[in-house]
Amino acid sequence: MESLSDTYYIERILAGDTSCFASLFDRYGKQVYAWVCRVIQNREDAEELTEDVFVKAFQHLESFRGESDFLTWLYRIAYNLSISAVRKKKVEYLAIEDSQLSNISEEMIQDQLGQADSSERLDLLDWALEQLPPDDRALILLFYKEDKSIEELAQIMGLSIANIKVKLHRTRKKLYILMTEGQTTKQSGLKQRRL
Amino acid sequence: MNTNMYNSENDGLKQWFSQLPDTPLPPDFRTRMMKRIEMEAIRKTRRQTLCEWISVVLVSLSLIVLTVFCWKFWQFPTLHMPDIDLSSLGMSTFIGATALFLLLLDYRFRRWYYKRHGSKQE
Repeated sequence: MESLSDTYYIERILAGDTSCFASLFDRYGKQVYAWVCRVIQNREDAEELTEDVFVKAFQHLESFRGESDFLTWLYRIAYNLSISAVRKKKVEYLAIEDSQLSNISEEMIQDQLGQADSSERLDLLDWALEQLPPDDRALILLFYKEDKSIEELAQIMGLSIANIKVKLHRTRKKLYILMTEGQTTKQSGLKQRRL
Repeated sequence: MNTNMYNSENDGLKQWFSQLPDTPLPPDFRTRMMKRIEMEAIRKTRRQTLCEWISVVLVSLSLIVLTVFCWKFWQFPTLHMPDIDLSSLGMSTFIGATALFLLLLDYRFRRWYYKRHGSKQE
């Protein structure tokens, strides 16, 4: 079947054909849900939140002007809802000091994060992601997993391009620290088991 | 800052993240969400109708108030009702009733037509 553009479906929905919204959901639902799931780290909450994202998108569809693509617009809604949901829960995340961040060079990051060679390291990345604050997690997932550009990230998070660049740089450093710490903990755990 | 870092294609992390598993959507999620969307659509239409009625009432009331105010302010000469000739009452009633009957027929026919051939927009 020929796939129609988002604009076509949006026009149809605005003209009163609500069923067309299902096509937009089929296109982006999975992606948005998976992302929300990773950002807020709770399946039940993620289900509710993804529903809210799409309902909110439906309610405000008239305000979508097509300046960005529809998925970016959806991510913007999802980002705002997820961050406020996480803030309401008042969960405390691991704080990494600025002095720690300044000691890390880009080469060190490239060395540590550059190779995806085993499932063990993938588990480590998964764990490190969970330790990051939700806004950093949202940012890094959008950039690396959802393949969003810096400009799109600026639109989603409502920040300037320069701010996004700085935030991304710092998040990569945090990820490096967490992964190095995680690796050390794992290794010492193994040593203790052997002894 | 390394400028290459902003190009996710050139970054090893990109490969890592692509290997991270996605949580699948629950099977009944789509149905549940579409039900909510349908409900929202109904609510939206109701809200719109209510807004339209409120604006009609408000505009009518403001027009009445404006008319009364203008009447008082400019002191228009008093209007005299023309004398009604009762001899033509029967004829006028007949014409009025026929017009109302035709309007009712037109309304019923339209309703039947839309039911048979789909919605108004189509």
